[in-house]
Amino acid sequence: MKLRFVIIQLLITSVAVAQNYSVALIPDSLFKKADMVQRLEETRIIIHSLKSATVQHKVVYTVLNERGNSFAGYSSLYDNFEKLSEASGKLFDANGKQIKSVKKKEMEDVAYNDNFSLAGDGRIKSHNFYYKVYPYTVEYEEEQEFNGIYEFPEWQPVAGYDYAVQSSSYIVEMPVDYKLRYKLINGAKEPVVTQKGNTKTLTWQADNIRAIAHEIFQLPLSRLTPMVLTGPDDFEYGGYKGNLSTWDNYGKYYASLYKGRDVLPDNIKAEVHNLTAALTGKEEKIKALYNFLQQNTHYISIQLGIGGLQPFEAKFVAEKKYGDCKALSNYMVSLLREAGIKAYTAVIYGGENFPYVYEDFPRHYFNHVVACVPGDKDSMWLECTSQTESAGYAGKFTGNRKALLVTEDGGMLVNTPRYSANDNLQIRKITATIDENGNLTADAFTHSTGIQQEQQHQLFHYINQEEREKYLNRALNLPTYKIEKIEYKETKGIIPAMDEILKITSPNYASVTGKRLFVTPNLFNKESKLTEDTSRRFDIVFKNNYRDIDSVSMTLPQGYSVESLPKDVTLKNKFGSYSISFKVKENKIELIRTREQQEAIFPASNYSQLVQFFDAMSKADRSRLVMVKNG
Amino acid sequence: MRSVQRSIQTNFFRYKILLPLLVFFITLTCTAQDKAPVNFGKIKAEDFNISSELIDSNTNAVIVFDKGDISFEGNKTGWFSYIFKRSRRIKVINKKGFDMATVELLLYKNEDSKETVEKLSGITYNIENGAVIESKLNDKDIFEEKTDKNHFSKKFTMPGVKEGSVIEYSYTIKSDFEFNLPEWDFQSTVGPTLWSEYNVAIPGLLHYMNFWQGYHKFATEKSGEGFKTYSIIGKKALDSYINRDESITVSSLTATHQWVMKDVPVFYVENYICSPVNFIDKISFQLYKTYDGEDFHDVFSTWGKVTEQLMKREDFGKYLNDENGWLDKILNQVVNEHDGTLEAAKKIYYHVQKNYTCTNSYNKYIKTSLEDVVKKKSGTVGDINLLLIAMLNRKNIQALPVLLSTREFGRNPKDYPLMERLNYVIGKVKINSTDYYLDATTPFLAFGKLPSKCYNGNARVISNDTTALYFDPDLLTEINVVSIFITNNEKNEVEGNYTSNMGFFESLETKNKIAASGLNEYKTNLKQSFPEEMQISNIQVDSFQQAEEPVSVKLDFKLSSFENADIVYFNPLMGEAIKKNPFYAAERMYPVEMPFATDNVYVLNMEIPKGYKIDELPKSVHINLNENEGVFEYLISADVNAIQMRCRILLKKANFAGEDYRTLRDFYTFIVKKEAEQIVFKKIK
Repeated sequence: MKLRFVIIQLLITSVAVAQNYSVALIPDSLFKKADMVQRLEETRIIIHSLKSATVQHKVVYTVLNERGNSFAGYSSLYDNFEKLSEASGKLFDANGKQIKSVKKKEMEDVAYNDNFSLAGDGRIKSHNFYYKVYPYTVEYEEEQEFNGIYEFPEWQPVAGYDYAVQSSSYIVEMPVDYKLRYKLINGAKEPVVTQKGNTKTLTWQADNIRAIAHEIFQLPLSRLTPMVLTGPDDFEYGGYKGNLSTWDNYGKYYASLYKGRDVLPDNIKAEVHNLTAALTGKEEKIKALYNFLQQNTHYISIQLGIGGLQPFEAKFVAEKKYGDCKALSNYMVSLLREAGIKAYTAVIYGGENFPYVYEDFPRHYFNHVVACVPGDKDSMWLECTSQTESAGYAGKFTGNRKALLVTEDGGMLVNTPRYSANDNLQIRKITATIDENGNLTADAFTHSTGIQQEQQHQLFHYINQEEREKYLNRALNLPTYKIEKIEYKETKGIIPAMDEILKITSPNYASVTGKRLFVTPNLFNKESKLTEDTSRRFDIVFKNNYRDIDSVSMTLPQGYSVESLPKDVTLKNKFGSYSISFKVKENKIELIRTREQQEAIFPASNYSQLVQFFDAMSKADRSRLVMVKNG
Repeated sequence: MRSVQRSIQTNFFRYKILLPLLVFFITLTCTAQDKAPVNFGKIKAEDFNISSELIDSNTNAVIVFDKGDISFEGNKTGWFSYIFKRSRRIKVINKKGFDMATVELLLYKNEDSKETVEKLSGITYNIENGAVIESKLNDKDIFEEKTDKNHFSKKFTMPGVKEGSVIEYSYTIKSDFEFNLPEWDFQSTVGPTLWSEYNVAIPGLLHYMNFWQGYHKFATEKSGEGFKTYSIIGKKALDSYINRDESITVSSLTATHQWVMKDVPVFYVENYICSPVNFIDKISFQLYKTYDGEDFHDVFSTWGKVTEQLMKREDFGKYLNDENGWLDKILNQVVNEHDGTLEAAKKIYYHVQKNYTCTNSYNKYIKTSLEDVVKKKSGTVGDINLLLIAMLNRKNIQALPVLLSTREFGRNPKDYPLMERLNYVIGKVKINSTDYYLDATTPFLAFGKLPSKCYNGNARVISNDTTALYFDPDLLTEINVVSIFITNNEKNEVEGNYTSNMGFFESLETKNKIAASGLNEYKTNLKQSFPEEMQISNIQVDSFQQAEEPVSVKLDFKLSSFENADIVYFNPLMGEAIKKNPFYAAERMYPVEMPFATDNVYVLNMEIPKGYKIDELPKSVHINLNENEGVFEYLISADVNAIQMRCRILLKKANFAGEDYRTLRDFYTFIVKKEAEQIVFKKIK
C-alpha cells in the first residue's frame, strides 16, 4: 500500500513538471469575478536541522486583464537569516508558449526600505515582465535558505481578492525524528503523510477554488478561507536555542534574548529613586517613570541581524535617548524594576488589522513590543514608542487582542484592554447663529474619550496649527469657512479624553433663495449610505463599540417662520440605535442626535436590512429646515 | 491685472556670472558688517534661549545657524575637486521637531570616482540642572545605505535629543563631480531659518553661472577675489603642461562670493502650487566654461553646445543618430502604411504606448540601452520616449527630442540649459507641416496630446536650430458639458436623462480609473455620487477605451421628490453643484497655479411635474472675475410648463497672482452660494 502511494505522488510531480499553461485548460468556473487565475502554487519546505531549512516556492499566474497586472510581478525580501539562493521567471502567451525568461542576476535588487527605519539589512529582489497582451502567464520560482528557524511560511491557498486558484500545494519534508507542529484552520484538511528512508513528507493540496470579492464589514480572509500553520518544536535562531511547543517555552526564548540587557547606568538609577521615592502608590510611580521615559526618549528604528528580535541594552537607550519598540520597552521595564515594580515586556501585534492568535498553536503572530505591569485586576499597558500616550491606554493600536507576556518563569498569553461604548464617547454641543444672509457662526465643544479621542490626540500632538486647520477644512465638510479658534485640552488616564473647542464661521452655510431660507441643522456628524450588494457572501462584522451624542442649538434670523420642519427619526434594531429630533422654539432650532453601535456579527442575509438602516440615517442626518420670510 | 507668467519670468531668475578678474594682487578689504550671531561648537546656557518674531506656537524647530563653504583643491586625475563643508545648529522646540535630528546625506559615485564624507561629527546639547550636557555622535551610529548603482547615502540620528535640545552637526563632502556644485536652500519647510550663509571660492579656471530665486532679500551679498595654490597630479585638461602622473602647482585667482539671509520664515506648502521648488529661496550653479591656462573650453554655455553634447551621449542622442536597423523586426509588424505618413506615426505611437510600461522614474536619459528597453518592455520616460523617437525616425518620420521640466519638479529658465532642472523628455514630429508633441508613457493619452504635468513653461527642441518652446497652461482649456432633460411620463412619474461630455483631462483620468478598477466599480461609485432622490438606471459609458475620443456618460433616472409632497424644494443643479470652495485657506502669499483654464457648462430642461406650480425661482445672475478673466453665469427662466437653465463657470486662465487670491476665493464663495439655491414647487390645489 505504502509503495503505491509513493508512485502516485511521483506521477503527480512529473505531470507538474510538464505543465501546460495554455489558458484553454482553465475550468470555466474559475474565470468568474477573477482578474487572475493562480494556475499553480507549490511551497516546499525541506527541513535539514533545528536551525536550517530550504524553502522552495513556485507560482504560476495567468493574468486575465489589466487589473490582474498587480499580481504579475515578483518580489522577495531576504536577509542574512533568510538567504535567497535561487530565483527565476518565465513568461508564456495565452497558448502556453514560452516567450521570455529571466535569471536571478538579471532581476532588480534594492535595499529594503520600510520608510521608517534608520537602518536595516533587508534587501528586495524583484522583477516584472510588463507584458500587456491578455491573457498571459508568468511563472516564478525561488529558493530560500533559512539559516536559523523560528517560523515557517503558512499555507493559505486564497489569501487575497479577485483571483481564482487552480492548484495549490504545501509540502513539508523533514527528518523522521523532527517534531513539526501544525494547525488546520477554517476547514483545512489533514495532510497526506509519506515516508521514504529517513525523510517524512507531509503534503497538503487544494484545487479549483473560485475568486472572492471583497465586501464591506467582513472578517479578514485569514478568518474565512482554509489555512494551515506549521511551526517548529525545538529550534535555533540567531545563535539562541528555543522551543515553541508552548507559550511558556516561547516566552523563555524571548527571555534569553533580553537577558542581562536591563542594566541601568548609575545616574539613571539615581534618577529613578529620585522620581519615585516620595510617591507611595504603585500607579503614581508607574506614571512618573513612564513620563520620564516619554520626556527623555523617542522612537528610532534600527533593525540589523538578530537586532530584529533582540533589543538594544538599557544603557544604550539611557545614553542615546532613542531606540525601537523592543529597546524602549526593555528600558521602561528596567526603570520599573529599579523602582521595585514587577514589570515585563510583552510581544504583540501593533496595528488595526491584527492577526487572530490561536491559543493552542504558539507562533510568532507579532510585530511589536510593549511594556506591561501586571495587576491583580487590571494590568497597566505602556506604549513606549509614543511620547504622548496616556499610561495604561492601549487603544486601537494594541487594545482588544492577545499578547505574549515575557516573565521570569516563561511566557504567558494575556488579553489587552477592551473598550466598550461607554469608553468610546463623542459628546458634542454646538451653539450656532445664522444671519439674514445665511452666514453661520458656530461654537462647537466636543468631548471625546477612548478610541474616539485618538484622532483629536493626533491633531493635538502631531500636526501643527496650520496643518490642523487644513485638515479640518477637509474633514468638516462645510462649503467655505474659516476657523476662528481651535483649542484642545487633554485629560490623561486609562481612558484618555480630549476636549476640542472650535469657533467657526461659514459664509452662506444656509441657502437663501428669495423669501426662503434653507438650512441643515446637523452640522458635522453624518452617516453615509452603503453600496447595495445583492449577492452578499460573508457575515457582517462590526469591530467597534461607540456612542455619539450631538446637540445643536441654532439661532435663526428674526422674521421667518417654519415652512418645513425635518421629521424626527428613531431607529433601534440589532445593528444599533439612532435617533434625531428637531424642535423649534421662537427663532431657535434645537437638535438632538444619538448614535450607538456595538461589536457584533450578523449573517450575510441581513445585508439589505443594513443598507436600509444606513440609508435612513444618511437621509435624516442631511434633512433640511425650510423657513419662509413673514409677510 | 498684470500677466503673472511674465512677471514670474522676469522676477524670478537673476543670472549672474562669477568671473574672476585675471589681475594679480588685489587686496580685499572685508568690511564684515554681517557676522553670524552664533559661535559654532561653543554652546552656553544662554544660547538655549532663542527669541525671534518668526517663532510662534506652530514652530517645531528653528534652524539657528546653517553655513556652507565651497572651496576647491587639486586632485589626482589632473583636475579639481570641490570641498563642501557644512555646519548647522538647530534648536528642537518640541517633539514634532525631532525629525530634524535624523539626517541623510545623498551621495553619488560612478566607475571613476566616489564622493566621500569626512569629518562628520555631531553633538546634542541639553541643559541639566543648569549645566550644559553634551552627547556626542559615535561613528558606529552612522549608517551607509546603497540606493542603486550610482547613489548611496549616509544616515545618522543625533543621540540624546529631547524637547529643548540644541543640535550641532558638521560634515565635509569631497567630490570630483565639479560640474555639479551643491545648491543651497536659504529657506526650510520645517522651521524658520535665522542665519543661512553660503560662501564659495572658485579657482579662476572654472566658471560657473549662479541662479538665485526666492521672495526674501539677502542680508549680505558680496563678491571678491582671493588667491590660492592648487597641487594637481595626473593629466586631464592640463595635459599641454604636464606628463602623466606628474605633479604641478597651479596658482590662481579665485572668485569668492558670500550670500547671507537672515530671519527667513518657514515655507508652508499650499494647494494649487505646482512645486515648492519654485518658491523657496535658493542658489544653484552651472559650470559653463573652463580655462586650461591657454584656452577657454565651453562646457555648457548655449543650447547649441548642449545639443551637440547630448547627441553624442550614449544614453541619449547616440541612438537617434544610428540607423537602428534592428528595429525593423518590430516595426514591420506594427506598420504597413507608407513611411512618413501620419497613419504610420500614429501606429508607432500607440504601439509604444500599449506595449511599454513606464516605471515612473522621471529621467530624460536612457537607463541601459534601447535594446534593453525593448527586452524589458518597461523603462523610464527617457527610455520609452527616445525609443519612440528612434522608431519614428526609422520609418522616415522626422522626430526630435524635446526636453522640459514637469510642473511638480519646478520651472526651468529659457536661455540657460540647466540639465538638472530638466527631468522629462517628449518627442516632436512634423508631418505635412503640422507639429505634434508626443509622450508615449501615459496610457490612453491621444496622439499629439500631452499630460498636464508637461505644461510647465519653457521647453527646448534638441535639434540643430534648438527651437525654444513654451507650454502654457493658460492656453489649455478643459471643457465639460453636462445636460439633463426631465419629463413626466404617462404614469405621471418624473423621469429624466443625464449626459456628461467630459473634457480632455477628465476623460484621461476616467479612462485610467476604469482600467485600474473596472467599469462596474466606476458605475457603482457614479451611482453613489447622485442625490438619493435620483434612482439611477441604464448607465452607459462611451469611449473609455479609445485614446482619441472624449468619455461620455449617459444615464436615466427617476425622481422621487415629487411623490406625495405638497411642497418640493429642488436644487436645479441636481448634484452637479460645487459644494465646497476649492480655495479653503483664508489668506495666502504665493500665486495660484492651476493645471489648466476651465469651462464648465450645465444645461437643464425640465418639464414642470404634473399638478405642480413654481412658487419660487432663483434669480439669474452673471458675474465677471477681474473684468475679463472669468465668468459665472446662472441663467434660469420658466413658464407654466417648463424650466430652462444654463449655468457656466469659465476661468480663462490657469495662473493667478498671489494678490488675486482673495478675489478668486470670493468668486468661488459666490458660486457655491448661488449653486445651493432651490426651486420651490407647490402642489396645485
